[in-house]
Amino acid sequence: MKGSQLGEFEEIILLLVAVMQEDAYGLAIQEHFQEQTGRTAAIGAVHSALNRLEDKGFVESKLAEATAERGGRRKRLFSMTLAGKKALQTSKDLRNNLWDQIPEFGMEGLKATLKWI
Amino acid sequence: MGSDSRVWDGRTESNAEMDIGPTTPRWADRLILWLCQERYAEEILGDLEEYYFKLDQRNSKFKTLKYWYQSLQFMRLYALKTPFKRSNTRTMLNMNLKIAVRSLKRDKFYSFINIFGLALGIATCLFIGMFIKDELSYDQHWKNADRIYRAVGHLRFADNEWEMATTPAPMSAAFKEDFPEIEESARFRSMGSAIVENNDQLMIKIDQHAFADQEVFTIFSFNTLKGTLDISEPNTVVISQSMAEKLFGNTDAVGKSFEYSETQYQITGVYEDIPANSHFHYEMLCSMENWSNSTNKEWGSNNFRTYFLLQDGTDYEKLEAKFTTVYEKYFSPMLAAVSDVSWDQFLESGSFVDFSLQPLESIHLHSDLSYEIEQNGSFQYIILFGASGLFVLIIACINFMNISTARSSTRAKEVGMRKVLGSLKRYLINQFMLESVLNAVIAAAIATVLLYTLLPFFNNLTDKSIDNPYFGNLMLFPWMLAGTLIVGLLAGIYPAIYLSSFKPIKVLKGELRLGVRSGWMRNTLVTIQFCVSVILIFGAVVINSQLDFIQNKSLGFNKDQVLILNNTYMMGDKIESLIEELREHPTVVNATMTGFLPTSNNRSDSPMVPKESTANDDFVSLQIWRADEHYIPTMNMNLAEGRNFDKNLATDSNAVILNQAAVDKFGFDNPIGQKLKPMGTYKIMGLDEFKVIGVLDNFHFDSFKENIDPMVLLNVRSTGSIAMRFEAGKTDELITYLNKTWVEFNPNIPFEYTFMDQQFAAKYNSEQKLSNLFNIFSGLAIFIACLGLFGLAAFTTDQRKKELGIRKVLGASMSQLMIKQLSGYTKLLIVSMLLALPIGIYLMSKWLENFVYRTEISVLMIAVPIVAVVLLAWITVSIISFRAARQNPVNNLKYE
Repeated sequence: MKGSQLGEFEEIILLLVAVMQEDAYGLAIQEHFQEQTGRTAAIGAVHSALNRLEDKGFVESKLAEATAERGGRRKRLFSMTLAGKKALQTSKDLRNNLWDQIPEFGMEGLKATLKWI
Repeated sequence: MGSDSRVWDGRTESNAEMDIGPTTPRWADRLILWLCQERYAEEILGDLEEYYFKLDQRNSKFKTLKYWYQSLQFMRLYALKTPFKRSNTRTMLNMNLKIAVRSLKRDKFYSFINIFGLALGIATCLFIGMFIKDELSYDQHWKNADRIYRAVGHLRFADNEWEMATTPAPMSAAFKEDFPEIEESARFRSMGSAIVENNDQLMIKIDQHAFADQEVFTIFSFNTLKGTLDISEPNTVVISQSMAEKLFGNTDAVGKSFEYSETQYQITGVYEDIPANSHFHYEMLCSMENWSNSTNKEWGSNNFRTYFLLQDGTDYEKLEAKFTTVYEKYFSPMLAAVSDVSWDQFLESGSFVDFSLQPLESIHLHSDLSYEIEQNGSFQYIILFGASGLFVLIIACINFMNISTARSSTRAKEVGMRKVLGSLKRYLINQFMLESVLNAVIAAAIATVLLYTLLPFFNNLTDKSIDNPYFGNLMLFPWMLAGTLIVGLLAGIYPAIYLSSFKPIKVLKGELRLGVRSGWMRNTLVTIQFCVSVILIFGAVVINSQLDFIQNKSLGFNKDQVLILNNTYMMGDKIESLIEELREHPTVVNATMTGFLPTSNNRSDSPMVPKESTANDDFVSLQIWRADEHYIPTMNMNLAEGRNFDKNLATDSNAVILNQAAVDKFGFDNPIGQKLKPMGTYKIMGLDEFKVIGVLDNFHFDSFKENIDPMVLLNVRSTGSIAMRFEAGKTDELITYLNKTWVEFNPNIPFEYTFMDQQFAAKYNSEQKLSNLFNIFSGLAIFIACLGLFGLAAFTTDQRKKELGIRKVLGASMSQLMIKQLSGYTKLLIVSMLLALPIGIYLMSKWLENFVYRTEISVLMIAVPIVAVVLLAWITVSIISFRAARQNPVNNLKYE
């Protein structure tokens, strides 16, 4: 088993799986990713990340109905596992914790600048 | 995911018929199935197909390219099948790739020369491949293309001979009756450009149209877009999609009508525009029922284009042979009508009638007859282009071989070490081949960028409209891949064998004097490069000289400062007052009303005989041109004898002016006052007798490839266009004035004009294209060759640094050193000249033989490539040797 750390890309993909709930499969996630972040990613890259997440146990997948525009092929729908949710929570907590430790950087910075002038 | 019932493409059988989307690129799908693990195949392919489906719905550009990009993005470690993950082959491949990349990076200078030269060579080849593939694809899109043939005539009558793309009107029906091999036959009667008017008085001009038999739609698979293609009733017409859009915008054109040549035509159907790679592009096809001559039984006039659809499996050459059996049946009545010669006498006198068949797909490249629908391509040029492209590529490959073998010393230790450690020769060859292929692949990538960037320029140069050469209709991509591999392997094979055959012991002991041993091979290759460059440059020089010759030869008329106003026949009776008004304008020197100009393509010929003649073979086939008394002064033509037409002489209505060629052909010693008449009982322009009043000096009105034909000028109204000579430098003023006046006369008729010198230049379009391309090829060839020479000289000079240092210490001057360096290469240059020039002269004289009026190959033409190549080669080598010779010898000698 590989480490259970979440990479930045993986984290966003995992969040997207959580957001999309019902219809989370490769191409749809890739499209959402491009919409939400404005970055581009190959379908293959998303697919690869999903498989890594599955290996780490953060998502699980099942095959759904075939549709015509897929040439009669079935989708593989992903959904977040409990472990995935925990991992996201841990990551968020870590960040929040770090954010809290920054000493009021907005105001302090301004004050410092004013003083300097 | 463990379903057993899989069909080949990763979906379950029960779902296979659900496919509604457009077909995805098959090879990309196969690659995924081949490389990716089966458990991922279904979802990967499903996602990709849905992606493609969406692209298709958005009408996205470069769909195939995007699809391939996404497909290749799946080639990641997790998805690949295990044999590709862990195998010795893969490790070795990785290893070799790594070494190849390192060696590329180590010598950036030489890698650049190699790759850049190769990229230019590949790009050139791709451009030429594109051109050739497009030319070869002509007319292949018709469904029954392999069974469609065009009938063409070859006639000889007394001293006149015709080879025509046209046939008599009754031939189509008669031959279908006579020969069961002919499944269907149909005729076009081509009519050139026309102006049509819809009911909102909108007039549009179309470039090409024809009257046609209904059966043309059985023979040619026109794509019906709307309505039915039915022109069996009179006054019905079918039109192309773009014409429908021009006339009626987005509304449905079927059922609407428009006016053309004073007749209302009803549209019964709209067909998809005929693809660019066809030998005709009719924009509208009118019912043949409207063409009064369509039912005549006249075998003597050839105005119809006849196409046959043959039965499956018919040998068309055997059918052609059978044609001879019916000639007498049809032509002897015709002969009797115009003369009292019997069929046998006709044949005995050396005259003949012969019809043959042209396979549809060969028309564009192999047919060059009189009265072609459009200017065709030329197979000769295809060969010329193909050969030059290949030559440029060979030059680039030679660079690679030369520089690789020359640099062998830097790799020798590596080879020795590998051999000592147990590497087989086979592995070493593999390794070097891989390096070469890697070079080729990088070069191909650069070439692809070049190809797509320079595409508009190419289309402009060749009058084509190719927008996606890799994945469009041409599908050049597989060819490019295969070509790149072949180039990589070919260029790599000699260096690979050479490098891998080092004896390890000698190499490691330093006994082998490397880079010197294969000198003769390198010299041969350099000689070949310069040979090819010289031939190409010489070719470019000769083609340019011939074009110059055409441009500057005295034509017998003055093509400069003449403006031609088109569509004037639409003015009807107003044309007289229009031309009167134009003549008044200060910028207009003179103006003439005629549809017949030396630079236009409006041609028609008829036979005439001297009036008193009783012999039947006295007739001469003449170009019949109609013009007024202003014609000769406007054109600046020269009357050798006699006088011009005179408006004030009523008797001049049947006056004619012959050109010198016609006088010679008639054999008149004293042409003025001779009377002529049409052959047989026909009339020409309503006249049955003509009086010669003048003789024109010969002027060029056909291609320089042919002799000047006999022609006659009739004093008969022709309203096709108005040609006017104007004062130099007043072009803008004239056009503004013309446009204003034109609108005053009739704003609905399209205002169109051309200049005579431009029309003239357009006649030599294909030669101009050839010249442009040859200039580019020869430039590229010499550039790539010099690039290679530069690399080679740099390397050998580097090898001889010490020698140069010692010579310098011992007192050699800089010029002595440079001459020493140059003389070696000059010897090669001389040899390549001696080889190349005879070949070049032979080839180019062959090409010049196409022209009746041609320039001669002169010493100057031979001197140009010699001087150019020698100078460029010297400059190239001098840059290197000057730097080397200037070096302080201490720098070269102190290291050991």
